[in-house]
Amino acid sequence: MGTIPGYLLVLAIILTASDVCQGSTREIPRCVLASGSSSGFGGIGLCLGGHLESDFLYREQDPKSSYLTQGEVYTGLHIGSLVSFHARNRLRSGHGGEDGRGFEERTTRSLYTQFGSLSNLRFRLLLGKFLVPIGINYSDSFPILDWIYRRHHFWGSARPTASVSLGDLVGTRVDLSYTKFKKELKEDEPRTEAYAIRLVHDLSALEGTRLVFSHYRSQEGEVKMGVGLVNSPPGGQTTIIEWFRVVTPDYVGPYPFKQLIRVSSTGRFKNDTRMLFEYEDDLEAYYLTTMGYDHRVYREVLFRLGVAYRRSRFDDMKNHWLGLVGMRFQL
Amino acid sequence: MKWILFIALIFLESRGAALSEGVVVEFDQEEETEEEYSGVERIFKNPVLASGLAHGTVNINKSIDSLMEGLFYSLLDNELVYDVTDASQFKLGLKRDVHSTKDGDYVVVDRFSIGPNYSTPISSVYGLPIYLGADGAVNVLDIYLRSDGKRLAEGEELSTWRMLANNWFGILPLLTAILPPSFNPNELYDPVGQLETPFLFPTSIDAAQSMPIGNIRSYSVSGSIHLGLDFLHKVSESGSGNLLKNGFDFSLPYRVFKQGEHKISVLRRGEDTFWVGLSSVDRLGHELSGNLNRVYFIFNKVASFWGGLPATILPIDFSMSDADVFKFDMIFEFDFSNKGASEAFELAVRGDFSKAESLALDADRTGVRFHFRRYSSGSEDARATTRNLFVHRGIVDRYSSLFEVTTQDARGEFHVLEARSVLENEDWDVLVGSERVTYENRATVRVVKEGTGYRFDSSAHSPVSLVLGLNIEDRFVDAFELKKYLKLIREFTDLPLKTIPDIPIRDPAKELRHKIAMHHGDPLKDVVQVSVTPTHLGRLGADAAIYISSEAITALESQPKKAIGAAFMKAFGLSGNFVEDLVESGPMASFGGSAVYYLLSPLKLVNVSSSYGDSIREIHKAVGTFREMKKARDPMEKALALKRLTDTEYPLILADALQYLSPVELPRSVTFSTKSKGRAPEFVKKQFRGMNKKQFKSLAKLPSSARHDEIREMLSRFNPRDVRETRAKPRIYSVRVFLEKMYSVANPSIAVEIVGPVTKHGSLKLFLRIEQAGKVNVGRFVLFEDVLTLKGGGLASDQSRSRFLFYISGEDRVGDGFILDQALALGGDFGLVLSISPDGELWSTEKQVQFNYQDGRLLPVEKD
Repeated sequence: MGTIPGYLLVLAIILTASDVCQGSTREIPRCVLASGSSSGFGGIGLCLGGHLESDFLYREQDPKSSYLTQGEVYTGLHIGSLVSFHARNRLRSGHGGEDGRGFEERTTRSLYTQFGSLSNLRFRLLLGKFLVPIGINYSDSFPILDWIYRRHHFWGSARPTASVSLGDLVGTRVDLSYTKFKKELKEDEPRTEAYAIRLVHDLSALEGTRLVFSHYRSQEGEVKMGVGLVNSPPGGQTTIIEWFRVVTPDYVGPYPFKQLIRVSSTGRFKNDTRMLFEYEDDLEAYYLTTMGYDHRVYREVLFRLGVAYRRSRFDDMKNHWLGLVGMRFQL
Repeated sequence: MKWILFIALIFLESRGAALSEGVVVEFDQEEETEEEYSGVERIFKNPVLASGLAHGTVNINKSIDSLMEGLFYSLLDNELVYDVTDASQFKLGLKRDVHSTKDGDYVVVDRFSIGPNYSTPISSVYGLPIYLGADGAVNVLDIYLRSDGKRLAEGEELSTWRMLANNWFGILPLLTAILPPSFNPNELYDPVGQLETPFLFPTSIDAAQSMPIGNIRSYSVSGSIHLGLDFLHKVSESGSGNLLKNGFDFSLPYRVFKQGEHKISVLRRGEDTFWVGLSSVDRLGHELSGNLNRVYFIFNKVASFWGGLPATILPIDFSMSDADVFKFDMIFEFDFSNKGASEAFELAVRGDFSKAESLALDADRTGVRFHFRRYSSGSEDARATTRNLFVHRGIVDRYSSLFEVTTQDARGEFHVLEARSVLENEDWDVLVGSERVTYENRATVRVVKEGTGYRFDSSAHSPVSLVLGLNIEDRFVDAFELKKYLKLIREFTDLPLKTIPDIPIRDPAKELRHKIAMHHGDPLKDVVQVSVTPTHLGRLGADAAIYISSEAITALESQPKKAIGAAFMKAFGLSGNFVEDLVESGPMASFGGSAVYYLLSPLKLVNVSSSYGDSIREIHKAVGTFREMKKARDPMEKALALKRLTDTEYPLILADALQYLSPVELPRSVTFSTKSKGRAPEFVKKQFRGMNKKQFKSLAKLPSSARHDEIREMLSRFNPRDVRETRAKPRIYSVRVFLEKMYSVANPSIAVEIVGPVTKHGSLKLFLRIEQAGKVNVGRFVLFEDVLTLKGGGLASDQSRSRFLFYISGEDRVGDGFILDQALALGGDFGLVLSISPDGELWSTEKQVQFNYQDGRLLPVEKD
């Protein structure tokens, strides 16, 4: 691969088996495999989905890694209408860098059981290992960017968690979560605990708007808070605006907190194409603008093309462009 | 094989036939009819008319539709302030307000004002400076109707430079093309015309005849003098207090004032008919106001030359005023087809009505007609509390007045005592605009002057009458809010409204799809799956009225105290056995209620109140007022008691209680006006549209308009809020979009057929806008916008209608837009906005049609 001075070039070929259970291009998920009920509820259902991404990186002045792969598999098994099991596993591997050696990392992103349902009941309990549900934390453009820019620093990683949701069946719900965990890189220290609350309320404004308010507090005094807006009018397009802040005691940085503002928009399909747009402002690092274009080449197979520009917030960090090419299909 | 081919041919044939039908939209007859209200139902057609001509545009409360307005529309609101001395200034202002009418046109109000302003401390009390202030102004107003068709048709007749200037040298069409549909180009169109405002008042026949029909032009001279002090002056000076340190400003000024305004207005009613109105108002009163505010500037980092958009946060903003008022209104009509009227008109617009008065004695011969002269003297008090958080605003306005009104019209002189109380609740937010619920109660006592006092006019059909009114205006109503409003209307009128359709709050099919998707999805990712929200229906208006005649008032007064108390308790939803104690002992009968009342009273400044706390006092007040009404022998005492009864924070409770109490059925009515918008399923749209003009009445009939109602109606014609096209508009009966294969079977053209009126020369002007009809309303792309002349309209099956045909693709297509061709080639959803006019002056209501064009196929737009 040739060199482009002053630029970071990311050529991402993303083979994505997207989350069929999220029904991104279908009105009704195709995972209703063995439903015993004509209404779509009840019986036994199996849902499968995942991501597989492969990235080639070249960094002229800092060639630490030149090849990255990310794979993710999601499985959901529904037994009746009130119990379901969910698992999401991820594999990341890289190759290249200064010594040219490879590395591999396997992570269980979630493994939990759901009791109850917010579709038919006002109550739901999630028990298992998963990311504490706070904020929106949703980026639909190029999932690989999550890794490249380490956005997970804001939301943390999967932990043993219990989350209770109470809803009114139409548009308001509250999620109350509790987690107990060992802090990263501090395995010797005793477990710590945290509480989180997330309030979700839907409005009819702009043909379907959701407001999301979150608050999280750990035993050590770490506070996370977020306000988000999801606009999803009929037709398939979604616009998300999110503000998220993390305040950690004794945190040393240019600001006394970490903050991310994200605006993302996924267009509706029109003539088998749709546009993607995402803008991020990480207070401590960068402004990132991503624009993408999906073209449906055959049924559920999408060709994805994108470009991103990362502008550093500080002079000692370089700005760069990213070129992104990908493919996405449903199983 | 033959059979297969045969079946395939039949299939293709039938499909072809279906496609050739294209998209057909018939417009309901009802949608086009002019609104007709009569009698007491007109109470809300003119919500501010009782304030008379003098109020003018002060009563226009422009609702800002979106951030767009703040960004662009302020370009035409300008004020130059020249400091003459430390205490005096000279101001020159130009301002534009635009608001929409129910039939889709816009009322544009251009105001020019110029005058001095003076304010200086003259003394102090306990360290608080006392200010003396005075100001005066000459104001000129130009109030006119504008539609998109009219705007574009006007461009054809203007010189090139003026057309360019009117459109901001191409910037305005560009903004119209790319900004959301809420952007209204009429706000910015014709800045040169706005500069002409001070010179537009017609002082001659020629100038008057250049006015468009329906246009109002006024000039006024106003002035005020006031003496006041600010109780929080010391706090502001020292800058102490946390709020002040955080940039908040707090003021609590009190002032005594005297204001006056004299205005002459000209309204062009028809080709040769003009009304000239003279009005003057004098107020002497005092006012206490207070506010806590902070101004933020948002987007102030966007560009170095722009200071940002001011965003005012006013968590507390209230004012209370009382004033003695004298008003005078007079209207003459001039018919220019009669030459004698011309000279009298020119004198009248200069303020000399003597010639008009003498000619009006022989109106048929001279063409000068005297409508009325009205003197009103009395008092008014107003209370307003606002909570303004920039993106959300809540306003509660309360107004009450009592006037002795003497009117002279062509039939002679008559007198009424009029008590009026208005409670207006307005909620506005940046996403959906404003929703307004207004209660207006009006008591009228017909009297005969007797010496210095009055006696009841026994010749009148109902010398004492009371009208309770409710008006709802919501431009973005969904099915949930509709249910809420219907509940309110049913409660107010006690009418069952049986034939109102029961529209489901949410689309059941969408709800099921959403639930299934939620059920089978990853629960950790369902936060982005917005649930199905209440179906957006469109715009809703409702006018309800309850009429209480003299006989009914007498019957109500004769009810025992206990029954009165019980009726109000029932209306408040209170139960218990303390009604007798309450009636006899007063508010202290319920310690809890009184405690809540006193504890929560301060919160009324921020629009928070408790009906439980207030109920005890309200019930006690009502019982006392009924006693006063019964005892009243003098008309003024009666009017005062009626004012006290109707001036309430709980007009809904009052309406309920009076209906519980009345031994006879009270005449009631409600009229709906609806306009469907949005993407609701077609059957829901049809149900909502079907409510338009629907009227429900009680068995007891409402009376027809009284003489003083007709006067109010005439006065309202000068009110910018009530400006509307009075001429019969041309109508579009139906629109059909289809594929025409005449020139090329392989590449058929998209044809549009309009059924409209038969015109004199067989030609018709058409305003056409073609837009990409995307589902996100954050932006739009106007592909084509122009006024076209269609010729050769053939008669439709109904001989009173004509058909007009034009193409938007193919060789004979309208315009030569490269962008339109490209967009059609790409395919997708498209929208047509159409309006027709036989003469380019009077335009039909705009109609919208959507269609989908893809790969040479024409289909209706898919409903979600």
